[in-house]
Amino acid sequence: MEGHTLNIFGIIFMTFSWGIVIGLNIYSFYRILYNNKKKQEE
Amino acid sequence: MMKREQWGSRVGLILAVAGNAIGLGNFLRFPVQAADNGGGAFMIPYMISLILLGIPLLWIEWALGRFGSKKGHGTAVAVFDYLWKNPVAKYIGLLGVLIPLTVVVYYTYIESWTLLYSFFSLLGKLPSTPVTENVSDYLKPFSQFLVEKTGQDASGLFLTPALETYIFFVITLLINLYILYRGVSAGIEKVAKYVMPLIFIMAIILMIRVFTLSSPDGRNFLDGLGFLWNPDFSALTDPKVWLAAAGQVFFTLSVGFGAILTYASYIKPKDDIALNGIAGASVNEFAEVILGGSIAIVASVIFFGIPATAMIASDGAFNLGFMALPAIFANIPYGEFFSFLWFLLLFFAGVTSSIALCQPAIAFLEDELGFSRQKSVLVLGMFLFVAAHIPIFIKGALDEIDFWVGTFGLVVFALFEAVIFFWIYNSKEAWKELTRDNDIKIPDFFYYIMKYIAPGLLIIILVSWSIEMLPSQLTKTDYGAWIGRIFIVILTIIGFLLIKAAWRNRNGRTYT
Repeated sequence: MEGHTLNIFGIIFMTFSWGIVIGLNIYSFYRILYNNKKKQEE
Repeated sequence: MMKREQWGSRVGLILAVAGNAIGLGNFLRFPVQAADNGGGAFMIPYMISLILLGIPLLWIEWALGRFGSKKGHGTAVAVFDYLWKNPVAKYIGLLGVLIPLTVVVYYTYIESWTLLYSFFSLLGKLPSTPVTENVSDYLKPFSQFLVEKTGQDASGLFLTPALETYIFFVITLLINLYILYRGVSAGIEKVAKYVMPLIFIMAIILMIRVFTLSSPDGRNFLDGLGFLWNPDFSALTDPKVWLAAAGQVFFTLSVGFGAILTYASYIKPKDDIALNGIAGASVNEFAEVILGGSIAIVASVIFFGIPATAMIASDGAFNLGFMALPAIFANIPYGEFFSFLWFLLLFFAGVTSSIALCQPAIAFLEDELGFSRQKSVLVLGMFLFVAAHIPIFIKGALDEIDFWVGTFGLVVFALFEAVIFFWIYNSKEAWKELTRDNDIKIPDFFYYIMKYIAPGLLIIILVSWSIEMLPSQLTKTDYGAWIGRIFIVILTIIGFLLIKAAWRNRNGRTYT
């Protein structure tokens, strides 16, 4: 809220939050595909 | 007992669950809450609340649903009755049917506004006015449009919405009922598979358009993102900010409605819940943190500047979506198309949530009263059509019902879910039930979070909301508020009678 344009702290918080969310998506869908593949092989 | 339906595919299930969670709040409520409560610093309590409250409650609701699937029941009415050997349990479980059912009565109506706005955008019938210096003056035609369409300027008890508003409500209701009539796999899942990718595509198109906007005095998307993300660390010492973050996490994941429980009851009894729960939540968070945080508030800051955006946001997230955004689109090239996309996006987000909110009632009628799906949808449709006339035509009723059911009721029901599962049933058995047959291991520390921390946080939220909101809510004496309250009481009595009849006729299962 402070200042106007996106500052270094804003970039850090945004990158961190986006990173967690994107990471969580990649992890969960990777695990789903991995488990599906494993089940097909069995 | 009739054979219960099941999800056709895992991706379909995850998209349907994510569709339940992704609603108007992701695109409107989240950016306003974040900007109002410390900007980037808001994400610290938000992420902590996600781990200590959101994810644990999500897993509890998934586990209760899978438990119900094993027993052939899809609502908290029967699930609580199995877990707690007390005649009162099933009546408490009724909250898991009544809360979503009551919310959907007014949610469908609000959802229909987005369809109406989308249609009017396409026809170029939304207000169009040249930019003026004074933001309030500029927004006035857009505010008047909403007031005129919903009839909120009526002086007496009755609202006078426009005929087209009523027609769009009927169309929206019929769309919802048709999807439900098609069933879990052929209706809800199929719609989720088509609509969820569309929501993301439309949101990304809008995000790109917003990021390429600039104002004559040089503001661009970096100013918008700065407004949302630049942290105000002093906010972290304010308990209200922590409560706002916990509330946002709670609302965005749609826990406490009973809809996740019902959706989870259509999985196979030995299917995973841990990974499915995380995957659904991840998709929802993508829509909220990345897409929701990059459209409405960023566009508003670019177009109106920070002080005006703060003023618009302080009047509520609704103003941002239904007034500020159309006002911005009215003055950019191809604005009608982007306005159409924006409201269609909200409509799709609304539909995937409202069908989820209807499903517990359908499951109750099917599982406990032995109704066919067709008969259940017919009964539900008639109820929703009649009941919706209260928020459509009675002034003040929508806010009253939303407070008791859509705000307070959710926290109460989530608390019951956690307490009945982890304290009354048996915490060790509950943990065993939660952690069995999963594709990922739920870390052991979540046992303590689910047993102590999550219920504790819910009690803190409940107490603080009671202190903050109950006094003003209880002193409301207008007819609209009383009609809203009476509606909730009548619905509860009908629910009790239906449970009594179901258990008497042995359609439902009770302990021996």
